[in-house]
Amino acid sequence: MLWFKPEKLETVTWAGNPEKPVALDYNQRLSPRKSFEKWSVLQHAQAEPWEDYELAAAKALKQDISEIILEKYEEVKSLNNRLQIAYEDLETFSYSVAHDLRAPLRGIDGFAQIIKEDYYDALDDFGKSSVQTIIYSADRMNRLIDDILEFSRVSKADLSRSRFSLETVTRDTLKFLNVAQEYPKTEIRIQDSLPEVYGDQNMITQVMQNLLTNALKYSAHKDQPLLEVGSEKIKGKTYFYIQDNGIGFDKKRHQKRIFKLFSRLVGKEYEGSGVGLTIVKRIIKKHNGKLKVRSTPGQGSTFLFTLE
Amino acid sequence: MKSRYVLAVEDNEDDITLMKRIFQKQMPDYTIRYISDGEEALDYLKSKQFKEELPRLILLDIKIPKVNGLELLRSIRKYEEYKSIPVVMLSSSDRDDEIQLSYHLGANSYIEKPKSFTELSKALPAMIDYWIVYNR
Repeated sequence: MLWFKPEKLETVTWAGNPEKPVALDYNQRLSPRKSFEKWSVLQHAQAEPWEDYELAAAKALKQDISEIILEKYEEVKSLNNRLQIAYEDLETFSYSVAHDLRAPLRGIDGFAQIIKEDYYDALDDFGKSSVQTIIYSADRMNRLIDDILEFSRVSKADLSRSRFSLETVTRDTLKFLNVAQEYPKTEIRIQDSLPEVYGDQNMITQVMQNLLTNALKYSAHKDQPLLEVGSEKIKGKTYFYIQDNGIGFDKKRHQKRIFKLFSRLVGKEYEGSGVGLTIVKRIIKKHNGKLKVRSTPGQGSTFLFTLE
Repeated sequence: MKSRYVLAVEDNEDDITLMKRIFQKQMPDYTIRYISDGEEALDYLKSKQFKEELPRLILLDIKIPKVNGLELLRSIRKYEEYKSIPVVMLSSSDRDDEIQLSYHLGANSYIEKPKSFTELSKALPAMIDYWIVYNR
């Protein structure tokens, strides 16, 4: 803390300007009247000296301000702590709720399966379709729980970076998604010599899994579905992209919404829980990277990401 | 001939019913005995009955009342004569620390409780087959 006393401006008057050269008249004689004109100057950058009582007051004020700042600091710190605890509680909460939901769900599914296996013939058509609905709904809820757990796991996990090939990850993921069987119509193009990635391989695999699944899912209805994976430079940075020619969306209206948890732009006709892109966003953020999207309704979407 | 049985320490009655059914359908020569309380299970492990008729497999749910599955596992592994009984931990969580501790304490396997009955009916018989072959 710095204290200043106000500048005290003072005009000092001398009998003559000490810097004025000696004035001579035309016949080289000193002219006392001209040499000794009254001269004054305004003194800057000077202040009254500090008095003891002023110093004491300044010190007391400094003490008070320090105390207030410290108090505020403690308040913010404790608020932060409470927020951190609440956040961790929420994580633990969602994690254990998701797990605890599994047990009754296993019961629902299990007993419905028993009815289907052993008592199916005793049911009329409505009874049969009701049992099917129970099994189907239990399955959907299970997948939702999977996604919630995945989301909470990603949020908690630490990054473990390495250098790896995105092309290998893409090919493995497509194999894992059983693309040849599930999406036989879809043409897949993977750019030659994709640059390497420096990131958490498990997490980036998850990013690719989500983006590829979406691209496949939302273009499947096209006559010639096309999925393209590649890279491009934007402002000197390498972005990887996953592009499809599927349903697309109105970017202006929905760009924010698509990354929100449980938020979906489509109905039941497309399977999904609305967690995938939220996970993608989280993972890219964890890598201090950037995620971009381009989309035109009816023509397809492109998701681009870069990692720091 | 002594009965072949699997001991399950599990407190979720639905899970027990489902497990029993799996054995009934897929491994009819096995019976399943279950105990739903950790303390009771601990007493049973020390009983004469248990020593005379060892189970072919023990399934331990980690989250059970009073004495948890991990503590039970620890007590089972203290006895030389029980060392060869395969123990499979069942848990509804996939927490790394729990998994590591299970293996550290001598579990033969750890399975996260399956999501569905279908998965359970695949996992259990496979698990038992494996341990029977392994123990031969």
